[in-house]
Amino acid sequence: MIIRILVFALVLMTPLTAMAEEVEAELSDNFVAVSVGFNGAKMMVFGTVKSSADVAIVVEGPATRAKLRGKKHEMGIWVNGDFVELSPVPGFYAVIASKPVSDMASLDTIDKYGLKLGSLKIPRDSVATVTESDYEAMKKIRVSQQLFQENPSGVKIISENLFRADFNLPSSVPIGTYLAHIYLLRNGLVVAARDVPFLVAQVGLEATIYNLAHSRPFGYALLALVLSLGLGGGAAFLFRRVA
Amino acid sequence: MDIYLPIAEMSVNAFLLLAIGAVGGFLSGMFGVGGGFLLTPLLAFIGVPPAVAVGTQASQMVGTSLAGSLAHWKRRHIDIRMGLAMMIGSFAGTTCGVSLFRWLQQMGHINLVINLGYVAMLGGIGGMMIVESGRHLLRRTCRVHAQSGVLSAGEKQPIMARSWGANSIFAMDFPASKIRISLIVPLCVGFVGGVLVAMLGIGGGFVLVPAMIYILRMPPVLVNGTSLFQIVFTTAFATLLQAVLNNSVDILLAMVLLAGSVVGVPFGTRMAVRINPELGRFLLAVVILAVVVKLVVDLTVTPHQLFTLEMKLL
Repeated sequence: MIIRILVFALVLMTPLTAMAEEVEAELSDNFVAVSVGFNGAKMMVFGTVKSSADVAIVVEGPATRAKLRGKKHEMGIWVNGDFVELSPVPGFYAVIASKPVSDMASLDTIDKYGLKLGSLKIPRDSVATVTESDYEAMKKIRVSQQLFQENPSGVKIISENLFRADFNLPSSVPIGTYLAHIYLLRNGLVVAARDVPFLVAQVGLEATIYNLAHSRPFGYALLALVLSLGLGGGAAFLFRRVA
Repeated sequence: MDIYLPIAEMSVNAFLLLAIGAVGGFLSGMFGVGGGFLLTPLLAFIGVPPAVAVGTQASQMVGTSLAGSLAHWKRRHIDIRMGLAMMIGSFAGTTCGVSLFRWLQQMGHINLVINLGYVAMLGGIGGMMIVESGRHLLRRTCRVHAQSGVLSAGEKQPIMARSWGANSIFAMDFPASKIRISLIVPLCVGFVGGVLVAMLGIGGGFVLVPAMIYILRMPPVLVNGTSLFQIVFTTAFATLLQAVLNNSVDILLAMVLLAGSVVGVPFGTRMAVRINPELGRFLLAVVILAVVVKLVVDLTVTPHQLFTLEMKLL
């Protein structure tokens, strides 16, 4: 009886393990250290596939709450209008593929796996008054900040079994846990997938400042004042001959 | 060389920041203003989120204004008594201003009020100043000037000039400014300045300097230093509020800006004493009006970015 159950379980598991083995992937950097000189990071995903297929990679950043504020024309001048909050929205979203996504996947697949920026739907916790055009406006801004990316030729199939993909993290990327979803597609369907996580975190001085500012804001403010007064007073002392 | 700002969460060119700081420091030393009116748009222009720009520049102005007031103090160009009187008023004003701001926010149309108020106030002050100093300048060049306040040999020390409420019970002597004035007046000036700081987020220098010249009737040479002395305290208070309420103070950004500005300040103060006071007022009026023009343009011309986006980690 037990043996039958075990065999049954093994048989069930086979497609999963086969799926997992179909594609292997790794990142050039699992930890992106944000130090004083941080100016963005060039990331590379590389991996192998058992047999040739199309590859699409979706890199998703930590969840954020986006506050979108529009300007309205009131009494002849432009003022800030009301704002809408969209939540949760990925702080970073990049789609990289070996060829244009509409050439390799059916519309359903694109929607299901979020293979296009356009397939991102209005997030569930948003205020009820959020409209599609609000969401589009937000996506447009994110694209201009390079936090939302779409690159239909970012994945290079190097040989029948080897691929590599390059993408850029701009310097303004949010801190947190990122997930790179690597999808293998054949005949318009996803046949295999693998997730590779990576971390973007501040280190050293940057981390100290950030943590102090958020955990002890009053002490942080006093520190800022002391430093400011000290630097201002000290410089006045040093420059007294100039003035 | 790029530097990553931990609170702004972005990287900027450090030399650019130093240059921006230097310009701000120069303006501060020269005119006795905080410099924020120029720094905030410049910082926003290079990509710093506006909230962080406003909060950080408050902390930077503390050091810049201190450097400026120390430079003026060395020359005895500060009326500390007057400054303290205004400061007490401004603390009350800032507190009231914050509540007033919140009340207006709930009423809606807060942005309209602020923008129009800003334009009206600065426009009025700038216009009045440019007319007054322009007239003085023309008069100076037209005929030989007799300098008031310069003592010829043998004259005794002039008695205190008498100003508003000089006979009331609140009258006080301000020896440095050589005026006798009711204490209520600088308290009120400081109060109004504090309200403006809380509501408009400015350092207050733009209002303080003309108010000190025209309302308090202080000798122009003392105005810059006393104004900067005041601003040290108001911006220190603002820094505390910004850091605690909004987490918008970026120490690294402030320090780099400050490093640049403390180089600019001594040049500004030097320039301030070299040029004659009327020309100084005229230039300040020009700067104020330039800011007004920029504000009007910003308000009326269709902005090229109709949306602003703020991102907060969940």
